[in-house]
Amino acid sequence: MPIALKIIVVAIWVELAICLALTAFIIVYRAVSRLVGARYARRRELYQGALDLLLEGRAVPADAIRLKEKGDAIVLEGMLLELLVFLRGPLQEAVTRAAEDSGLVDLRLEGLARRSPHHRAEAMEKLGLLRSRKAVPALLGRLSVETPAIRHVAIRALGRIAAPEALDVLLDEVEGADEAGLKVVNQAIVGYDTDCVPAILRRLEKPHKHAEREVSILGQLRALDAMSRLIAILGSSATPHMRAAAATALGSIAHPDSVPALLGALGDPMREIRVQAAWALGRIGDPSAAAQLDAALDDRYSWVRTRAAEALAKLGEPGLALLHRRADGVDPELRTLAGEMLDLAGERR
Amino acid sequence: MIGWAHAFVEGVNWLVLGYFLCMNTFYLVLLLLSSIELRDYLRRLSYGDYDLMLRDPHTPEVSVLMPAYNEAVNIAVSVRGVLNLNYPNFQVIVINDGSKDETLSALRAAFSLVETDRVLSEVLPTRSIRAVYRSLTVPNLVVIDKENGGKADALNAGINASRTAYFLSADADIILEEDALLRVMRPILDDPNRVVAVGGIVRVANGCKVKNSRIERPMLPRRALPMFQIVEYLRAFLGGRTGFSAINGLLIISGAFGVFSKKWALAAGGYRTDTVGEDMELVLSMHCLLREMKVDYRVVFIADPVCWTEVPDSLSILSRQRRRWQRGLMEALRLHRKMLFSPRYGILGLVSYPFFYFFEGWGPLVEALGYVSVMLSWWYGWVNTPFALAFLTMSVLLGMMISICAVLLEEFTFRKYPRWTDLARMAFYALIENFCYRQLNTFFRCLGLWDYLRDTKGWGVMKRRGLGG
Repeated sequence: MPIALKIIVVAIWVELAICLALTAFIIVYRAVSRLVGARYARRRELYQGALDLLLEGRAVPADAIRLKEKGDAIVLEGMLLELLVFLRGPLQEAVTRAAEDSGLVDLRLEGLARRSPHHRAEAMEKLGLLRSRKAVPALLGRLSVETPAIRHVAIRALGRIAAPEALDVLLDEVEGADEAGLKVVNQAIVGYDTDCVPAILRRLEKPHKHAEREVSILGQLRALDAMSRLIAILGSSATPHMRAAAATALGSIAHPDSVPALLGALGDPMREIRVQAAWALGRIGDPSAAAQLDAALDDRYSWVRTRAAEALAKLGEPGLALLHRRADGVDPELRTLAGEMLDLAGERR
Repeated sequence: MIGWAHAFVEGVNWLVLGYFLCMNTFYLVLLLLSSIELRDYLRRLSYGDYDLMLRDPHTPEVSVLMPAYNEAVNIAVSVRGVLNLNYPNFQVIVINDGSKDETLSALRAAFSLVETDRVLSEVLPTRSIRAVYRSLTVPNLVVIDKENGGKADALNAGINASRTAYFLSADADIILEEDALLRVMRPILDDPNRVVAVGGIVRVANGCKVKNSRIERPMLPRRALPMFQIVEYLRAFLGGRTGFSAINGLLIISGAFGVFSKKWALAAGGYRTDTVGEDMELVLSMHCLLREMKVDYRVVFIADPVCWTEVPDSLSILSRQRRRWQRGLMEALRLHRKMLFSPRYGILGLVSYPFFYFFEGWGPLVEALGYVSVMLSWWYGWVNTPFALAFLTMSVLLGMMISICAVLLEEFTFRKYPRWTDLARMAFYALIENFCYRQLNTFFRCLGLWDYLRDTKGWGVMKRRGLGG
């Protein structure tokens, strides 16, 4: 027994000591992080002057913005990223240049080679946020070696930087991407804004697999320049996927010039295309489509009917008048549908 | 007679000692798993991009279901809070579960509701729907007025009304962070084919500065009872559930805040109306179904502070709450007792279920028994000093260590309470939690077990009364 007693007493002391040590550790940990925070605040001031100059649009000597010591990287990066959240145009470029001059970008580029995937991903994310063109070759290089999750971070970063030399690689990514990857690549290309439209149109010249993905990007970009091509695809493409994507894209662009083509698509043999065409006509909201949308309310396929009713509710007076007539009509299903749409449009009956 | 009692008490003592050792060791292992998981989670946050998610038109739509029963005072504020969430596309469905007060008229006044003739699908059977309203001012708000049928029934009606692939069940009295929905949907966006449910952390709102249904500054409550619960919630959520999530063995997603894939929730039959543990029951059902169908899936818990709720600050309310929780837990576990030690359910059957069954379920009884028998033996002088000390070590001191570790995890990760006094108070309550609050809780939970035992005997009677009323 005495041995057991000894063991237990030791155990009690050990446990108590651990509890106290943990409590002390929490306190020390917080104290240290406070001190570090205070130090960061002091170091910020060293760079504030240079950044003020930069924001006034004046030239900043490279010395003033260069990192004074390696530990300042996190401070300066934070300051620059805060600015980049709302800066566009020449000022944004100036901040990015400052990031390059200061050595921050080089430090992050070194980070791309670190062993932990978390660290590499963080470096990619920050390079993208800093929007440095200098990082593009390195990011492109990582695409072939990283796991999908980390590749997505790299693709996102490339989209932020939106460098022309990366566009073709990203468009190739669109072809091979799976469902989750496609979203990321899509977003990245949308980051280029309308700059990528010519390249996409060039690719669409010759047919290829998954071309409808590129068509839908044109829609997301609301690319007016691409409208004539989209109308041509809607009218003449042999693959239903392409026609449906073109109808959706035209709906996103929502320009009245595409109304005749979309009215034609309301008579398409594939129901998906009729659905998208009805939706697109609703988005455009051109009253001249009223009669044919009303005809689409008698479509065999219920989705087409629903979309057509929704569209009619957005056409203003002529559409609402037609819906009112349907709401008082004979077909019970159409009565409910039209009633619901009128209700949603705020029309009291 | 005395000799026999002696042997019995001795046996109980050893049993309880072993029980405490197993339980606390398990908790320590969970804490370790949690800390690894949390570290990874925080690292991933440093390169996760919420901004892009917000602008992405493909972010899946979510229905926020808010069942409300006699919430006239708060309902408009809570609904506004939910409507302010940062998320590209979501709709809010408030279900007025036959409230006896002015809940519906409060909503009507705040959001200018008009009745629609929309007919809900009847995939899940519910009590009859009186009316469906939509708002003239807020396009993504729907209010359902139905006969009283309990929270589960109201949620089922909400699922029927939702037109989205995911739904979030939210209590009507919670305060959400602006990014709550984004954060809780994140695992689904990253892995849409596997993640079927996500739970979020629940934090204690008592004492916090609240303005416009938003937490302006997290602060600690003055009173002791909520303080104990703060430490307890940290321990349970940061320490416990994160750990279970790391081994894909999460059995509970709290009803106050959780996202589910509608497809799988429907396949599991929606919420059961005949138990008070409907939130846990749904998760268990989904687990069972998915394991039996051999689907590769995940149920995830995220530790980001997303949702705040007011906890009881009086003993009587706390007692009622804990009794209900305990009963709900036991009922949900009972409905799925085939999982116990069944290798077919993998880690759930071999680790999570037994843990909940023995430690969370029957544990309070063993614990109470232990306190009584150790005290009895002490009184009669049957117990020697080493044993008493060992008991103290295993129960109280190990518990203390776990509580303080939970506070440490909070300090490492989110550090919601920035003041020094806050830290000191949290550490203090973590240290003394095991000397009084824990025993009190054990007592309440034993009462809950008693409720459960009484109810299972009279199950048939209960059920008939429920249907007739």
